[in-house]
Amino acid sequence: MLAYIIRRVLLIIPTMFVVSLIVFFAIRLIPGDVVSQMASGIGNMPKMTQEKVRKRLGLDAPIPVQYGRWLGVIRDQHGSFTGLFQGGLGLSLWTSVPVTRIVLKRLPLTFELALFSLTIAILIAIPIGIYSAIRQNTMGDYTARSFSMFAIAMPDFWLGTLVIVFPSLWWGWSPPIQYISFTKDPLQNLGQFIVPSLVLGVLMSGLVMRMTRTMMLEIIRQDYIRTGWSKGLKEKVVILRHALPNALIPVITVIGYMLPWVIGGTIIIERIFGLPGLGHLLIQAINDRDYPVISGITIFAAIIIMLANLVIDLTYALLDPRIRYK
Amino acid sequence: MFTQKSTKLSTIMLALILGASVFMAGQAWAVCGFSSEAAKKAGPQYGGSITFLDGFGAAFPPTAWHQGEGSSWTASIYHDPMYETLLANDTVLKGPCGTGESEFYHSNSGPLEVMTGKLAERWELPDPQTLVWYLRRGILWAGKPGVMKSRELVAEDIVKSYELGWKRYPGVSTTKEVVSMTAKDRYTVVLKTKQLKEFEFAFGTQGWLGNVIVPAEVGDEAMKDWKTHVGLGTGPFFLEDFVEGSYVSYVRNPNYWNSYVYNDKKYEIPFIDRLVKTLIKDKSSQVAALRTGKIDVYDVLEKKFVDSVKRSAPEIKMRERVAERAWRMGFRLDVKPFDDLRVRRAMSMAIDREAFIKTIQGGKGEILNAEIHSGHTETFYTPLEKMPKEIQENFSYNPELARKLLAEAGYPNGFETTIQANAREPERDVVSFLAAMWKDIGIDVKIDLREASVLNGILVKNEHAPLTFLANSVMLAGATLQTYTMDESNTYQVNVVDDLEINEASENWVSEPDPVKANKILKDWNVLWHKKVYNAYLPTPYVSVAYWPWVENYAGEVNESSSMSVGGIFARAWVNSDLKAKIQ
Repeated sequence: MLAYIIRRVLLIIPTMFVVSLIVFFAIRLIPGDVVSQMASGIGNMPKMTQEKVRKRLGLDAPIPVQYGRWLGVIRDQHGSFTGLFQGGLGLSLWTSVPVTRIVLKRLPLTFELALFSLTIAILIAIPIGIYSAIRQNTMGDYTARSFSMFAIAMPDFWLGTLVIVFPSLWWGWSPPIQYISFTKDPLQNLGQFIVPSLVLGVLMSGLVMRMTRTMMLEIIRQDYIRTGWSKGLKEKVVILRHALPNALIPVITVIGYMLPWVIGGTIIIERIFGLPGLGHLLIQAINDRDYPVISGITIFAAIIIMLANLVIDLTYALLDPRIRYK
Repeated sequence: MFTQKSTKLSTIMLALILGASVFMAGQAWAVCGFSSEAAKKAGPQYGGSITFLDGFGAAFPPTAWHQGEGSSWTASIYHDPMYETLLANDTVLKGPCGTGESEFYHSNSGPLEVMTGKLAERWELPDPQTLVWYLRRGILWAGKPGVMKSRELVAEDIVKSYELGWKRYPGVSTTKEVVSMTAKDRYTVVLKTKQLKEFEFAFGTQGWLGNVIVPAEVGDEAMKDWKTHVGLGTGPFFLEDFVEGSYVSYVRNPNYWNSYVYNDKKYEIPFIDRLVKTLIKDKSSQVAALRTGKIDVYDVLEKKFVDSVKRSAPEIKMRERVAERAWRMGFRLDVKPFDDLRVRRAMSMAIDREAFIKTIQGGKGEILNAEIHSGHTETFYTPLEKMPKEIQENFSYNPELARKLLAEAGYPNGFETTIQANAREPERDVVSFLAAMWKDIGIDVKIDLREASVLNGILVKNEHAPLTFLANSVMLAGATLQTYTMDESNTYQVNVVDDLEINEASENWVSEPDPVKANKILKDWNVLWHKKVYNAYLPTPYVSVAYWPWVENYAGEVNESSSMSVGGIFARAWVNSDLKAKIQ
């Protein structure tokens, strides 16, 4: 098992290399230029000055050279090695702040939002999915399925906007507008995350609920479950101890695949609720053409997703003793 | 039966009851009937905080705290409450809270007659190329461990601050006329230029291009870190905290040099303990926060939200103003047929501006608001009804005359062309409207919408379409004139034209030392500009400053120095906490 884990972790390195290559070149295909953005912000920047700025930022070099500098295998425009191999992700083109510092500062917020959302999604979806399966074709089942379709179909930006607008009109309530970190005031911080997490969690729960229901329906028709009923075991024991663990394996897979969706979903929710997380930063960086920040966030997201998938794979082994990794 | 004793008792009881009633009535009046006007008459209150949202803050987050880096002018938005300027708009005496001779809505500052000295007590123009500022004495920099000890602001601080800007952006129009800036003595700054012009006064008011006045001890690198600026400054507030993407907060400077006179009594300012600039970007969230009182002042409430805000929060006050924008449809004069004045006039006349105001702008718009903002006095601005007849014709809706002009120009059946615009609202609605109007006179317009960053890149490289729609800021009158000269540094010149008359007007203005004559040049230039129809101008929408009535001694002003700088304005506003508790 340990060898398997080490192998999976080491596989992240070549995967990251490929991801970085794709991201680095792809974002430079986006029309628009960071220096043009700066020039339009000032309104009158001579071409000579634009060239100076481009040189200062290292954007005058060919893109493969820029990539080499970013990796840390070629000296940068100031003559130093300051790339990925030296532990850096470059500097923001706008603020000159190290990208690593920027990303690490925002990561906890996005992680908190993603974690709460996922937790809420699971807490909603699994019980409802189980109930829907064991009470198939009842009013409760129809309601649950309708809810899941609604959750799957509804766009997150729409629900988020409704949650902002209507309470302010009806009850004079709106979410907090100043972000308070967990370390500064845990209670206020948690209060700030409840509503956005609920919005994202409810939307995510739809798919998980349907998968849970489907798998439960399949499992409860198995012979060993019938045997359990025949033996007179209580419903709670049959469902929770015998059926659910087997039904959960594909459900966990779905949750794992949803992780990129969670990270993507936080972009919209962070924007609507004014939470300054990675998603919020990514939109700003794309608008500003801040290439190192875009690359940095993408790399971080890729690493998190790969590690999360590893955790999910290892969870299978916990749930199913037949699964052992070598 | 009443005895003498019982009569005395009754009298005492009656007196007690009456006394209690008076007392309770007094309490009721204090809690329920205490109006804002009454409170205002009672005088300023210390304490509380104001949270505000301005259009610039939401659109331009602090990407750089160093005035000389990146979008330097955006840094000035955030420096404003803590770092002051030499001069400022006199919002106290000349604004809506004072004589009302200026509304201080329009971008940037001036004219000079409505300005007052801040860090500079007075100034002189000994010759046409020299400006001398005399600093106010006794203004203190706060001390900060590891950075500096508390000391007086001196001329050397001004000189060093401006040098930071020059090093970063040499050769731009605001700096290339400057020869030198020196500290003549401890409190005197001498600016020498090739030709003195409006920008030298702008240097006194705006944080442009490295012109934030920082203490000489703060190094170039340190300025990039926002934490360096915490607790520093001469302004009414100190920077407290900056949460990227969420808010910037400031706290009261207890040793602020300025004071405020109210009802003949002098008060130390600021009155409030804390000032928060929120950085929410989502419009729905902004308006929801305003409705629920989480935002106290919102300075760019669009027309479409006004009615719903009034319905849901009728206590909110609103002050309407013309947006500081020019909605212009620019023609490329290096592309046929737009080099022909008749074609340009025809396209302008084909636009039904009244219908445009009704459909796109919610029923209210200012038809002529560029290139000089209509909020200016007639020092610069000429109202449409006083413009020459041919200009009034250009702004009228006359499709028959438009077709006639097109036929005279050799296009009786119209032609095809392309218009580019930003892909966001309302630009995409505007170009659809324009395309429909022009279709009526035979001009087929293909609409090419681009994301803002992409459009900026296209404009900077002069690769834009024959028609471009922009909704840019209306700037200082002189700056606008400079923008339209064919200076290769100008990124806003979409017309690609090198007009000798315009260049000559610019040169005359730059070299004119008499401000009265210089203003006349700008006024005449504006008329000349509209005769040439290099742009077809659309009405500018109205926006509102919305604020809760518990923010007192505030009348919806948005601009003390430039770029929506509000530090000085909120320094003399206060929060009526009783009224706030009552309403909330």
